[in-house]
Amino acid sequence: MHLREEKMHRLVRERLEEHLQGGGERPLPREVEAHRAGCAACRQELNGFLEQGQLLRALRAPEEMAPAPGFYARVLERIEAGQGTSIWSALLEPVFGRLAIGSLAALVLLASFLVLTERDNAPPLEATAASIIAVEDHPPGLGQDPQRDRDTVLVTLATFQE
Amino acid sequence: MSSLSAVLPLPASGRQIAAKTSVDYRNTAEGLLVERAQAGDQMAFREIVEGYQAKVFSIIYGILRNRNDAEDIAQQVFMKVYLSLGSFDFRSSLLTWIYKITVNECYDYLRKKKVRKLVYESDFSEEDARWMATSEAARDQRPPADTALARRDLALKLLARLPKEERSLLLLKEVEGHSVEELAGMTGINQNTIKVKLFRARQKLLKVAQRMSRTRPGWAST
Repeated sequence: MHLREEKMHRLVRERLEEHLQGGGERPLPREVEAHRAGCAACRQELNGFLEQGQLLRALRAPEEMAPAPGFYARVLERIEAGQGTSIWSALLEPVFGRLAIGSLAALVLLASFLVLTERDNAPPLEATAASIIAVEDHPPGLGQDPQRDRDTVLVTLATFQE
Repeated sequence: MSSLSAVLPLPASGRQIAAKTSVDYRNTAEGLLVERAQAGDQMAFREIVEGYQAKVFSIIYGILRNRNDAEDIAQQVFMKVYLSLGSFDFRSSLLTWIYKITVNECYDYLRKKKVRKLVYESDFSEEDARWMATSEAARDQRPPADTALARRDLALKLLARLPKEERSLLLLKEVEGHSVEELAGMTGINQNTIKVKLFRARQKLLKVAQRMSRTRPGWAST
């Protein structure tokens, strides 16, 4: 597939860069020129390359340019700023690295402690009759607290099923 | 300067890597300068910056045509040079190495600025299409400044489709005007390989241009 698409013949291809060097003004050797004259594929591709060269030369700066004075100092400032602001480079520093890892570990421990404590102390979301019964499976002895006795009787009546 | 070298230690030297290479640029004046810079000599780094700043600035300006952008990217280039100097392996000339960094930085910049979105076929303007159809008549109708701008844009868009190495080689050949022999000397690659690489790059560019002009059938006729 790739070879089939390579139209230009070896004879022209070998002298191609020399020819293109001068924007196509440098004459091709006689035998190459004869081949080009008779080979439409080579001619077409060569013309394409010449045009391509002209296009690429549009990227040439109009003249040699120079940055404003003090460029080296600005480069150094940039290097310093770049090295100073990098979070990763700071983290990689031995002292900062240990400090950061220590702080992170402390934070994780604190967070785990808080989560566990909260979970243990969390009140039940909703006191259902069943949950009250479950709690009151083994109620403390009746007659000790009249209010509690009344609640127990009411709950028993309300949840009574035949 | 000495205090600065303490703050900004240069990365490790690339001497060990250089031992593997077939073409060794260490014994040139430029190579010795690089070795000094690799060893942490800030004056050597300064010489490199001051020796190449105009070249780098011109390359960037040629591509972007904006002084402020050129200054910003040139600083970025030399920062990269500074940080990567330790990995410079003397397989190519320093200029070639800096040139590659410069062109890559320009393309990074274009990508970040989303200028490069124009590279994709669907974003090609009708003006680009006219130019790509190589219609002399269409080109003559546009004012010269507009044509120059459109051509630069098109060149950048097409080059964006090439691998970095081929892009740099083609630019060194066409924009910087180096011969195959010079390129071989600069890159440490033999002349025949350079020719093959350039030929492939040129063919890819032609194919991309042709494919793009085909995707917009109306281009050629307008």
